[in-house]
Amino acid sequence: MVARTPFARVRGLGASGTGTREYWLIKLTSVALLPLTLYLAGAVIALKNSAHATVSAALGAPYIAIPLFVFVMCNAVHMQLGMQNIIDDYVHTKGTKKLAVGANIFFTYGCAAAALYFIVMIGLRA
Amino acid sequence: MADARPNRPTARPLSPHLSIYRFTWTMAMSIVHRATGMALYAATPLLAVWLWAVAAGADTYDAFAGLAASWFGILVLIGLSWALIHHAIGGVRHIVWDTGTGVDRASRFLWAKATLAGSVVLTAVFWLFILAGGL
Ligand code: HEM
Repeated sequence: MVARTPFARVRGLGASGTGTREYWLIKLTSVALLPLTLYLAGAVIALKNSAHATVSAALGAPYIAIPLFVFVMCNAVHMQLGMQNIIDDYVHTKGTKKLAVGANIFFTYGCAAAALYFIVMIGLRA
Repeated sequence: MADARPNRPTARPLSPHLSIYRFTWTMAMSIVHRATGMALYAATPLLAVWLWAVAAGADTYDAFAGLAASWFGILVLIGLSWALIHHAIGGVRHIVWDTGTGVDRASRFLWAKATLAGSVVLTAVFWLFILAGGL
């Protein structure tokens, strides 16, 4: 006789049986985003009235450029998985779903690539 | 997935529809967490535009800063800062819940209300810092 109940077999798997990686990554990125957001909000307050030269020099300095770089990367992973979560909830037609998931990836990593490129440009000129 | 078992009769009652949920604070904050997440998602290009304006030089940056300091720009930025703060507090709430703490009735309603109240207060504090000494 097998003592395992059906519940024990499905416990922890969720409806699809996968997704632990995505779950873990969205939590990990949110833990990273929290201090980064606080720090960068402080930088925004400090720079709010500044002339272009000051802003450019500050964003090019490692103590802002590096956290900003990490923020953009964490944000990209976080928003991609967050939006995928929403798509998974609402889009159930196969073709539309593929399109939405793909567009989401292009959009998030496109935004990230542009932001990272400009951070590097600012850093090289500072 | 809706199309996972095509042979099911389609007229069965499904899970409760949005319109028959009773209002609760946790339900409202769940919706707002998702809404703010989507708003921040849509606003992410603005981060790249800001960085582009800095990289492009003083003229572009001044034009961008002028736009940001217009009444429309400030309205958008207040909305986005509130969305970010609300979403961040809501995120902490989710992570606390993930540890299994704070899920009893009293705590979860306290957390849900604190998320809303805290987001409004912190947004006001942030803008006091921004507006102090003029724009
Ligand atoms: C301080 C920064 C942030 C924290 C702490 C945070 C935290 C979280 C957490 C914990 C979740 C998962 C909620 C759940 O378990 O259901 C989540 C979902 C999400 N986040 Fe964030 N987040 C932050 C910033 C952002 C930003 C900047 C964006 C967009 C650019 C964003 C977009 C999303 C989206 C779209 C979702 C999915 C919402 C849903 O499934 O309803 N988040 N966030």
